[in-house]
Amino acid sequence: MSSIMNMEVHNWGLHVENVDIGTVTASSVFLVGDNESFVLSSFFDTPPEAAALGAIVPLSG
Amino acid sequence: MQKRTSSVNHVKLNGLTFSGTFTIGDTQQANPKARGIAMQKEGATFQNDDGIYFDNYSLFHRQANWPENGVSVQKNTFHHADTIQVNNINIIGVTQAAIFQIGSLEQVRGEARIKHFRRYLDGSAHTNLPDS
Repeated sequence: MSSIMNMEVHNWGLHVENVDIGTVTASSVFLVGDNESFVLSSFFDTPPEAAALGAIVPLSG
Repeated sequence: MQKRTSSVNHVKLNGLTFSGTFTIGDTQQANPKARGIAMQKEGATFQNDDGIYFDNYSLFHRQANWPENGVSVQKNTFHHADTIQVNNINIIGVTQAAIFQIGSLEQVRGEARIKHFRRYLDGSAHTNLPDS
């Protein structure tokens, strides 16, 4: 017996007033429309000193 | 699948750079690809050839972890309104194999690889060594 999944999608009205985006980057997509499939891959390498965790400047003392 | 109409009243896009795409209309297939090396250099003097090549870094060679084809699904879509309405879009930048599209987009397969490192005057950079 074949077990194909069935899915039903109802797209009701879609009305967006405002979209504010910084940047769409490194194989990303911002789409106003319909789509069938997305396959996206991204590699990013940055040196450890670029990731400053915690306070860089002492906040007191 | 029946595609809806996309209607956008106002768009403001500041920068479209490095293989970024902005499309108005429908697309069947898109395969964007981008690779880049970003170097921050102490005492910023740059020559034509800094001796930096994609081939020297494993990031540009290693195999991407693409998802396997999933189980096929029988999908039925019902559009109860034939337009997607957006009044205003404001974007600063679209870059590095990114897509901003108004309209339907059937299939996308995109890949981006970015390597970032710093090079110091005393040569103490460790992360710019080949294959790091």
